[in-house]
Amino acid sequence: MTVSKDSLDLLPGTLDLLILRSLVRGRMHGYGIAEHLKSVSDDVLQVGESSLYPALQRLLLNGWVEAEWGASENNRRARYYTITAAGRKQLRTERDEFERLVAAIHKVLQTA
Amino acid sequence: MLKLVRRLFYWTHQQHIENDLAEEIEFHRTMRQEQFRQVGLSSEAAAAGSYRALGNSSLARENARGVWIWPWLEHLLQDIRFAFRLLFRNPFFSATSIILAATTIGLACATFSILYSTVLRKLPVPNPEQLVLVSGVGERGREAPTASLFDALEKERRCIARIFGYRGTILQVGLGSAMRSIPVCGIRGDYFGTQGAIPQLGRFFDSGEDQAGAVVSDHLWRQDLGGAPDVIGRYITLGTTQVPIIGVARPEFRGMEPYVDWQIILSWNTFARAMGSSPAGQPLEVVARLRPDVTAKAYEAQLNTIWPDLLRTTIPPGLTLDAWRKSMGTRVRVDSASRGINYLFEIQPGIPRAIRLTFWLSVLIFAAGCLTLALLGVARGVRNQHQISIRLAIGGGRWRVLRPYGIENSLIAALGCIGGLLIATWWSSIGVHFLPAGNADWNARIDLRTVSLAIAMAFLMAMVGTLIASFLAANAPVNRLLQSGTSMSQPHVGLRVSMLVLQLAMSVLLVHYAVIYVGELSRLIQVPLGFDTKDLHLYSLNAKLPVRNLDKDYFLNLLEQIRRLPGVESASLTGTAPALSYLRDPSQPLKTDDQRESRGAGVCVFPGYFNTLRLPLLSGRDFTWGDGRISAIVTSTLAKRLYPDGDPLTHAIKIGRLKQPLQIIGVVGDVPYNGPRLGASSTVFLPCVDTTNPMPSNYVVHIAIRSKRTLAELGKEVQAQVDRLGVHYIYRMVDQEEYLAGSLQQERMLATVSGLFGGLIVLLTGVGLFAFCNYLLTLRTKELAIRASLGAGPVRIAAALLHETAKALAIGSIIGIALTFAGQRVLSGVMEKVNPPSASQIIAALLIIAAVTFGAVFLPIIRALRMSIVDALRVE
Repeated sequence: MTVSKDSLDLLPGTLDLLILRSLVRGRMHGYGIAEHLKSVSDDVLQVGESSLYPALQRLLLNGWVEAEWGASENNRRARYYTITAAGRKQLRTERDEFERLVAAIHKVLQTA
Repeated sequence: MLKLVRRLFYWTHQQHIENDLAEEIEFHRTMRQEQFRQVGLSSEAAAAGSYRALGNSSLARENARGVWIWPWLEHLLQDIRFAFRLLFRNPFFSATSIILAATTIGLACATFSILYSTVLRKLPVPNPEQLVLVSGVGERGREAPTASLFDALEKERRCIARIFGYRGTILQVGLGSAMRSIPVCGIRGDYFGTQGAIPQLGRFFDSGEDQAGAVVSDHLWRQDLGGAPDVIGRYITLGTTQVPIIGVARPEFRGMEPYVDWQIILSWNTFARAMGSSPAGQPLEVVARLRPDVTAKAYEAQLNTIWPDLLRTTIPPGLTLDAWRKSMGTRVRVDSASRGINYLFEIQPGIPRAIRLTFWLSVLIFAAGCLTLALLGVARGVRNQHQISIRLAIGGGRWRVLRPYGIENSLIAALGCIGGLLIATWWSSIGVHFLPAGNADWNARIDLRTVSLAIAMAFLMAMVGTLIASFLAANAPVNRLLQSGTSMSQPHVGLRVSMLVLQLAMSVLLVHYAVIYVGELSRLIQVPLGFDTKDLHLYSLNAKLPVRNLDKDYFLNLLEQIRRLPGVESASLTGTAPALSYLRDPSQPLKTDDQRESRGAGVCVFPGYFNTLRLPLLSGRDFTWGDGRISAIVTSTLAKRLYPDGDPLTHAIKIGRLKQPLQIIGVVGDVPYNGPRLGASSTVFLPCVDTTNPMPSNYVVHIAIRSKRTLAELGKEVQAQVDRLGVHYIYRMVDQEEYLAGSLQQERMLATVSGLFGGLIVLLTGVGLFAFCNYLLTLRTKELAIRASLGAGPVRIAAALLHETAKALAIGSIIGIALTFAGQRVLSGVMEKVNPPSASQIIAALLIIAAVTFGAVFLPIIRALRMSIVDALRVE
């Protein structure tokens, strides 16, 4: 995870969640995923390649995404990732977990 | 599961997938470069910026690979590859280590296997630990209870669930039309039930059943009765009695004695009748199965409280209570019978000498082998010291740095372990042939315990090697190593010399023990019989029923008839056949009139017996019929034991329970009993019939006949003479020369094999020593070449090195010889005498060691002196 001066550290395991969520919109290549995360987080989340590609390999290993080669928007050969049914299920589970965690952290911060 | 399949897919397509990833990351970078160009940067600046933004792409690829292959596995594979490179850097040295490890492990495992199968293995019956042997403790040691005493013991069931008694012998049995000598035992009580046996065919005797009947072994059923399914109800002939077969035992049923495979099991009365004796008076081995909650000690205590009453109620006719008590003992002993009844171990106390010899020498050779391996480990540690120290100094983790060296040691140990198991399998299958003949199934196969032992030893060796490497690395003065201009692989001089001395001492020890081992085994295998087996026939006679009391005239008449047969040079008679018969009581107390004590066996013979055997009469004279029952002849071993410097002929000797002292009238050469393998025993010869007069016909006697005629020709005529008198029948007739040659075939084979084995030890020691010396000198190649290039004369360099080696050789040899003699003394203390190496053996061993050492040193010197300085400086 590349960290800019305005960027934040992700909680462990959150990157997989964010990638899966990004892929719900449709198939994307690695660069597209990084750009998407950056733009929707208003440049707060800048995902470095050294984190992004191992995370994508991890998702492939677990069978949560599938990869295939295709042509990019500027007609280059790019590898596109698609979320699988198992990936969607995992996304739901992780999302619920994450929201419970955030709510709990929020609660602690409110009461402290 | 799918994950594992995906991982496997990655493994098989690793290169392709990594190329894809590299292309993907490159795509990522070019997109970033495009982005930078779009915001106005020049092509060069955009490219440089994209590379900067991408960061360490190698790290990304490595992390991505780490997802698919566990990092520890990848590191391990790297380490294994590195370890193989280390191993092949000096293949001769590595091969030596592996072969030495294999031999050491193999020898230890084989010895363990043999010991396990002969001494430690429990009987293959349910709950063997519940089986106990019940005996009286008499004056002569363990006494087997009589059948009447067994009946009394059988009634005392508080501590035991089942009980039986048995007694065995070899009988002449008629199977169909053929007669054969077969091991037969008679049983009383619940023999089969106590051992948890189930019949294969028919039935077994019920507890307490005493109907005439025979149960045959699976072996006999298949070999002699053709495996006929309708065998039940057929008859076998014992003397003049016909006995029906009632059952066939399963193949795995072996009975209580691991050495004897009883082929026919008879009810007690049938057996006693076949033996021509009273059923009640015969002694038998009594075995009981304890109740689960009862210990042998508790049963012994219970029996000891009732023992006096048991004796009182079972006094045999004609004996007083005192005599009966003296005979059976005043107390009872209950011993574990979980490993069976080692009748032969009783005859020859302790395990057979060959096994003990192999065991103790194996222990010594194993210890020496381990030390040599440790030294080779030190040499490897020294070799790696430089690399390890530098890698540690530049920040490598200790575990990470040492791991490849540990794996190298483990590879050596693992290969040694595999080789060791192969050697163990081969050696233990040969080792069982050292055991006495007539045993059942020794089955000394390599089992799980042995494999575990081999693995544990291999692991230990690997650990020792790694620890040595670790210790050397931890103590390596890195700064000094880096500052010194000489070869950093060169070990410290003191350490080098110490290692060489130790290796030489170990080699001297190993070579000497190989010589001792081969010498002792050859001596054991040679089996000096002491008498001339050529043209010697032996006929074993047992009684026909009814049993009669015989006097010397009967035997004289029989022998006279036989002597008159054509071609008979001489004929005589003995109660115990030389080399063939097993002595029931080989260790009777012997006491001379001047209070010298020893132990030995009593064997009765007729006058002229030594002449027929051509057993040399060393001093004194043979028996004559006029001697009466007061004379004895002793073997030379016993004579020397009793009177090392004096003359035994002026003394009298008492043997066992004989009250009358016997005047020693002669000394004869040694003669073996208990089979040819167990060597000569201390024996007192007594005159037959004079000592037991009258002599019952069921006392087995053996007629020795010296004749040039064949056994087949003469046998018929002797048989006719025996049959004519109608008292005995011949149950065995053998040509001694053919019989012993046949039974000693294994010995001849073993002599060759043990010679090969000893040669192998010497060869391995030589190879180990050569590799070690050669390696130490190879480490100095650079130094020697530099010295040569600086002007030192080759003769001077060689002389200096040879002088250094000679000093180490001298010190090592002295230590090695001292260790050899110390070990020999320990061995002799633990077991019977082991001969120390002779002067010629010592000189031969030292010459071998010296030749190997100087040869190993000379070759690297020649190589180094021929090397150019440029090549020398390149040497790692």
